[in-house]
Amino acid sequence: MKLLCTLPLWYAALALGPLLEAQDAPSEAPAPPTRVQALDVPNDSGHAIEIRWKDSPAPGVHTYEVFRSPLPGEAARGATEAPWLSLGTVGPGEEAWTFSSAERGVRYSFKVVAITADSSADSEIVTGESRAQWFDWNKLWILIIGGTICLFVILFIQLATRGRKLFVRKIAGLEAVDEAVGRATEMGRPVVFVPGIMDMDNVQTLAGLTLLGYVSRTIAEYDAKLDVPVSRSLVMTTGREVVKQAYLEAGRPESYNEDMVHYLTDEQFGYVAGVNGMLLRDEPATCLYMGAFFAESLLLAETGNRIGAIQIAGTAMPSQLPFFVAACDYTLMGEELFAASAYLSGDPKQLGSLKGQDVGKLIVMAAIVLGSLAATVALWTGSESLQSVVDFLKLEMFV
Amino acid sequence: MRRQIPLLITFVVGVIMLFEAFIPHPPFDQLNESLSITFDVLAAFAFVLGGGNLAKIHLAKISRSEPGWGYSAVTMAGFFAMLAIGLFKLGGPSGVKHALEAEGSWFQAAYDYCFLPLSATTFSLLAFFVASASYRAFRAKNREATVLLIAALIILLGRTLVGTALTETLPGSLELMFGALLAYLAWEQYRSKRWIPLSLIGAVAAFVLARTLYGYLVLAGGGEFYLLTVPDLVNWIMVVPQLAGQRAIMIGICLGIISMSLRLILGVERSYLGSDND
Repeated sequence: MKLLCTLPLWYAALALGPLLEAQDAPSEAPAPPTRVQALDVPNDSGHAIEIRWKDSPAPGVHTYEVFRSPLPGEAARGATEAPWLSLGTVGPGEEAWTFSSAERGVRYSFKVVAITADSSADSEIVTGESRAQWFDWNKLWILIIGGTICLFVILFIQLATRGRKLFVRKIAGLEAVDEAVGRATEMGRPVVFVPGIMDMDNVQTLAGLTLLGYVSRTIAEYDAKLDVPVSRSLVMTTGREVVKQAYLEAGRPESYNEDMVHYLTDEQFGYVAGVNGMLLRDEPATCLYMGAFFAESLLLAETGNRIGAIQIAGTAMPSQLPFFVAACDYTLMGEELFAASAYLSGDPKQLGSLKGQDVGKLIVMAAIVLGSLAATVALWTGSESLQSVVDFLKLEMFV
Repeated sequence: MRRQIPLLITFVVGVIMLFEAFIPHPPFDQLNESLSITFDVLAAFAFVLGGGNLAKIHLAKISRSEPGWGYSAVTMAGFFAMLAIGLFKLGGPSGVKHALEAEGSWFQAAYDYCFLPLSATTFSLLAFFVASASYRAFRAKNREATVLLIAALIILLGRTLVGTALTETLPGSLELMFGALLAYLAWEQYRSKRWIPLSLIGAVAAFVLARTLYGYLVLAGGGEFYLLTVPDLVNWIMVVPQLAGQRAIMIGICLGIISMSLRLILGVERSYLGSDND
């Protein structure tokens, strides 16, 4: 009877035994990550080290944590109490981490810890340092293609200087500038020139100001009235110099007034309100918009359209081009804005640079045709060599 | 001399910045940022010139009582009020340590309750201007404008809720629209008695329309044909012709910038430098 009473206890001991045993026994630690390396990231200014390792073969690893040794001052300053600083964690299957805030030339120690649910394993400690490189090899093809285009630009400038005649197609918007200024003269109304809303560090503003030089010379010759509201102080001072020079060249320095180029405000919509107010009050016969524009493009051009002005616009902002096309009589699209000053000046040297630009277009066209053909044939035939040509064009040549 | 020195500075800085693009090693890695900061400092000093010019022009207008001098009075009132509020840090905690935007400052209040609503009002006018510009641009006055109009209508149908709901179950809409467009072009060629273009366009139109009929009769209800709806057509327009056009413009812009920059660096383009005379 006594034995029968103890049976449930025996049974419980037998049933729970293996479970208790499993809990008590220490779990097996994962194998540490192997082949740990700390490599300098190439083609940079020396601020990045890549830590690579081989995935731990043990199952159950859910995280890898990467550590670095502290710099001599860091621990002393109380930056950390631990002897190692954690850089971050990645999941299983990941085998690299980039330490991107390294100090140039300082040797760091790194280790990678494989972590399971209840244990961890440290890798061997490796050292590495970051160094700055003297050439970014990722940009080799940009250098080659850009250099080739630059060489052709210089070559054509030289050829033009030696008297070789170069054909440049007509640009309707620029042909219409004289007509537009003439109309303003006949109507006795001003010509408004808006050089965009960006500062002198933007190449579109520079292109706009070079055009202003030509336009103001024509205006001076016709003795029309010019109004140039600007949104940047440096553009105002440069614009004044350009207009003054144009009036001098036209032989009418007495007609020049520095308030022709005047400042409104740096604020985008304040500038729009100011220019639109001027357009509605003064009703200019001609409006020219040449430079970098954003949301104000249509606000300005529609107001100009409403007062019946002849409008010529030019910008290299692709998102604003449709607005100018819809609201203006002529639009210089992208490259035409940059070509405008060369085109209008008629200077052979400047026209030569446009021919060099055409060679650039030929290179791009050849690459597009070659890439399209290679991609199409590679898709049909499954050819790996052709696919490698496509990848090269996509990933290496035109990054 | 007044031109030679700026030209020399442009050449030297231009060449250095060209090197900077390809050399990540110090000191080139910091050059771009340093020069940008220098430019910002220069622009900040030049702002005094702009403000001075603004005050000069509008005060002269007010003193001469020129037409529209009332607008100048409002401009000057706003200008000097903001100048005083900013300089003396009215309303908020004073002292150099406190920012202009500190809580309770009049400057921040003027920005939040005057400037922002006025800017938003001007910006919101864009919606009405887009409508009036679109109305003018989309009038079918020539062939290009007709293509633009058709593309715009398709985009409008495919990108609006009602348009999508109306057309998403219409199979073969892509073919139907292309077929109709081609049939119209063929009709135009027939009227102009241009037989070679007519035969070419007519053949393509016949193929497309025959394929559409075949799709309705044989494939309707399933397969690839059923996917060709207006929303898909919109995606195709945005991803293929629109993107191709935009990329072509971007390539042209890049080449234009290279050419313009070279003209500036080499001193071929000098008109932005202005006068030789003092």
